Amino acid sequence: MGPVPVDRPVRVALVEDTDVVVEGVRTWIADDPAGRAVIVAVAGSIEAVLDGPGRDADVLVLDLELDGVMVTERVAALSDAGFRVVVFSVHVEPLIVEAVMNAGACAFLDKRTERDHFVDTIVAVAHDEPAVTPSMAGGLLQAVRLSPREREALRYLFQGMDHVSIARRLRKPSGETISAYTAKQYIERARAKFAAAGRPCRSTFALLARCIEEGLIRPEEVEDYRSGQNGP
Amino acid sequence: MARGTLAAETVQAARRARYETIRGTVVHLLAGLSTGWLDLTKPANHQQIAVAVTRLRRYLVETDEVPDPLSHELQACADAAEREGIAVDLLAPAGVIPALPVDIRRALTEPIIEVLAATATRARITVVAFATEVVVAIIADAQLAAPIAATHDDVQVAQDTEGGLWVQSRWTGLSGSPS
Repeated sequence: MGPVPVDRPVRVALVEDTDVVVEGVRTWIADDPAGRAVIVAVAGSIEAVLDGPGRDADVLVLDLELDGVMVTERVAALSDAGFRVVVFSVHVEPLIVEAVMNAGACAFLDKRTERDHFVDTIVAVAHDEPAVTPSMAGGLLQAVRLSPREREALRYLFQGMDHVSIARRLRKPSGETISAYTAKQYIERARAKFAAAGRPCRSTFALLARCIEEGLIRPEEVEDYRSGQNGP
Repeated sequence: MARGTLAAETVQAARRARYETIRGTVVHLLAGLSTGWLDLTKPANHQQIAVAVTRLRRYLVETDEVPDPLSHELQACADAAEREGIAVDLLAPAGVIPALPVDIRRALTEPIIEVLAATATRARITVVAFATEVVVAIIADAQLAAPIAATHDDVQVAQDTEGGLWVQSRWTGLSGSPS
């Protein structure tokens, strides 16, 4: 499963049992000016989505609570089977976020507050890029050994700042500003460290390969985090 | 007898402390309302009352037996703001909040109360906690007349008005920041 070519829309399968939410997701995807994603399957259960065109989707968007039952423990098997899982849930407690990320989910979207991040996150995940939403930042903060700057950047993201505002707050002691791009790199590096230290699975390998290509993390660092040897 | 007197004195002292706590905010506003000198059509007065009401709600839950008093008190603040029609997103805390004395918790929540009172429509409140550091922050569509000052030596307040209001209160314990 290589990354999705950038010149074709990302195929999204949605596991969601609430009609109004499904309608919302359809609207967000239809409203994307660049038409970067298309929905290929929607159903209220994982089985129903995978028993059709959903099994060939680039990204599997998964509501964590289906018919009142939490499906958190399904994330690991789906990730191992090669699906890029994006969890879409109201259960944004940092411990739950951390658990599904560690199981192999590529990203987490807060159902109530992160509609503006929806398409960007799906597209980044399809291209195996590190995507970090504000709700993910809360889970990453506690789980990884971070440098002070990475921790600060993640904290501001969790608080609700965009990359421009984070960069302004991260001003160097000399008063010199940093760019929004640099702020984003601190956050993505934290994501790469989390992937390196977490449970090995296909989605994680793809993400780490991409992070190494982008120069966010070095191969030997990945080994260090995997074996838990080094500080930040 | 002596023990009975002591208990009565303790109760009285607690009562006095409670009265002192709310006197500064609520009592003079009630007086202003009853005598009619407080003009409710002025936004500043309305804000002052919102602050007082929220403080009172926080105060009422301060003695509740709960595992996480800070989150409990922030929830009370969020509830008060929601009754005013503000959409408040109070996130579950990242990290385990250490036990904090009530004066620290008040100093952490006080800036949040002030921002909520000045908020137009929406606010996001977060808590990030480590053993020796607790950071409470709010981002809201609010405008403050004056910067918010810290009310405790161990709690720093930071704020930024560019691109929406951001206010953060941060407590650091004896051993300093974990970074």
